[in-house]
Amino acid sequence: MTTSAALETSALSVGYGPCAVVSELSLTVAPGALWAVLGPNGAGKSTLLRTVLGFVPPLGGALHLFGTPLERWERRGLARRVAWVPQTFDGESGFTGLELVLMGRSPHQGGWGLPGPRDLAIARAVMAELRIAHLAGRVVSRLSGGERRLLLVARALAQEPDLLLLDEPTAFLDLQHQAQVLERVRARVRGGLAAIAVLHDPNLAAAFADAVLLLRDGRVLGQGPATELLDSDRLGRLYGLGLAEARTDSGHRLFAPRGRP
Amino acid sequence: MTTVALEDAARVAASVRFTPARAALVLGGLLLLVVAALGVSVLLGEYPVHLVRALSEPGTPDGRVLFGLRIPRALLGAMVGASLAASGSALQSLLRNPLADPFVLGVSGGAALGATLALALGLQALAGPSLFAFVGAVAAMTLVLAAGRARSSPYAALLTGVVFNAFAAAVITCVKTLLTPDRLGEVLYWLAGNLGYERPRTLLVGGALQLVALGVLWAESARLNLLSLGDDEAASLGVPVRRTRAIVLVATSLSVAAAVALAGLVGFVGLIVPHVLRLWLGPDQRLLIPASALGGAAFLVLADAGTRMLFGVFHAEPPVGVVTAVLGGPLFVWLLSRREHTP
Repeated sequence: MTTSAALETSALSVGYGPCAVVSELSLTVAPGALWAVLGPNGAGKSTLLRTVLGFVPPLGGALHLFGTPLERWERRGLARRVAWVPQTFDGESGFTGLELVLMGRSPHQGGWGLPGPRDLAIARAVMAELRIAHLAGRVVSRLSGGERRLLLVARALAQEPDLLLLDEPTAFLDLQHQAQVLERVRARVRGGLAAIAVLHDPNLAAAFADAVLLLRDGRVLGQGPATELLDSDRLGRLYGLGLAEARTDSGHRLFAPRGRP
Repeated sequence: MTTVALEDAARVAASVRFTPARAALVLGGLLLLVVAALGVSVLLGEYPVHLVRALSEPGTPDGRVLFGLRIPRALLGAMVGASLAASGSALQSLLRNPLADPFVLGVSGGAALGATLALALGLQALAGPSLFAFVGAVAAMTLVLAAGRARSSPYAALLTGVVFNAFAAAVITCVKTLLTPDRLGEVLYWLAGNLGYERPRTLLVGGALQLVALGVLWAESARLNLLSLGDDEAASLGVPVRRTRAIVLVATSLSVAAAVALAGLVGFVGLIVPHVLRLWLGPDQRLLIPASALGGAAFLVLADAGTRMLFGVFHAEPPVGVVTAVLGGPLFVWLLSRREHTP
């Protein structure tokens, strides 16, 4: 067992109740790698992330985070190492944008969550980086879905994790913000962060991810370097539809559903 | 450069609403309000108390009314108001529903059922009604929150509470039909929610219990903030969710059960006070819980003084629970109707 891996699973089965949504998953996510998880709706992508976070007990197999079995982590210690950008956010919260982002600092603070100058500086730097400094004083429940999503990403980055789990971080975001979020994650991955992002757009995966995990019908259709695995043939099988592939002048691959002739 | 720094500090201050300085200012102001309310309450009433005479000669009628009746009653009101409002605030965060209130959640129904049974069985001595109310409240809260948590919808617990209240009301009605008139009178008066006379020792024990329970809630308030985002998000931010929930539930159950045991059914304080304060202070429970405790104390003491003033009109003293219900019922409906747009 290498202790350097941020996440290491062997023969892991995840799911709710008796039925496994994904089974026999053996995955190693090293620091400095951005993994994209792709697959049709209901393939178990979110459930996988929720299992890694300990919200859903694994149905079988082993799961280690930073060399320690998941069940041996206590919540606060785990929150200092692993951050999560949830898929949905119900917006009843009357907190301001800055208050929400500062909550990302809470695992590093005393029990009462009083932000010190360093916490404030980190929160505001992250918000400036994502160009959402103007949301600091706005009440979260009055923001758009995309703005909330950016605040959740900012909160997770302010948490300064070593492993970042992003559940559809680009949902609700316009094209510029989609690229921006993944760029900022990418920049931290270069600095040693390990990240797993559930994505629905293979083009974003091709542009930003080092490696991909392809899930369909409860099994792993493929896992490995993005450059090797992402082709129209395999993605076509993954989503069950015909895909066309093209290359830009700069060498990026693009995928799109085949239109009607 | 300094103006830029100042503007910047002002922007942060506007965005982060909980600071120790602001908390001290707000809580200090509310404490003054409580003191003022207590002052008004002990001086107002059917019998005008001459303060100087009462203080200099406690043996006079003035002194006996002040020390024997008014002060204990005002302190009881403050204690019960603080308990109900702070618990309401904590429950609203825990259940992620601004409509949560000990009264609505069935605690009061359980307590009423317990007290009614004790009175019906003739257990007035040995603090029987209070003890039974306590057991009933804790049982109801446990039941309602267990049922509500099985389905994690913020409304499940609330609906279970409403149904439980209806059930408790039916049983109470059944008991009432079986009672002799004198016992019926006692039950009716108790159920209406009134601040009466309690012995100093009861007040002392109750006050100590409330201090502990509300202290625990305040200590958990930062974690309650995170829990208000949802269980999973709170867990991902380092909150031991199950333990925090259990601690908050035990503290609110004890606090509310003790309040109900002392004062009967005083409804909607836990709804009105936190709601008004949230509009003013924002949703941060670190400030909202102590502010609700102080605001609830002032509110109930003043409401009780108001009922005593009504004596002049009705020649009878309506229970304070009637006043809070008259204010709280419409507020509940209004909150429900605008819930989709609530900040």
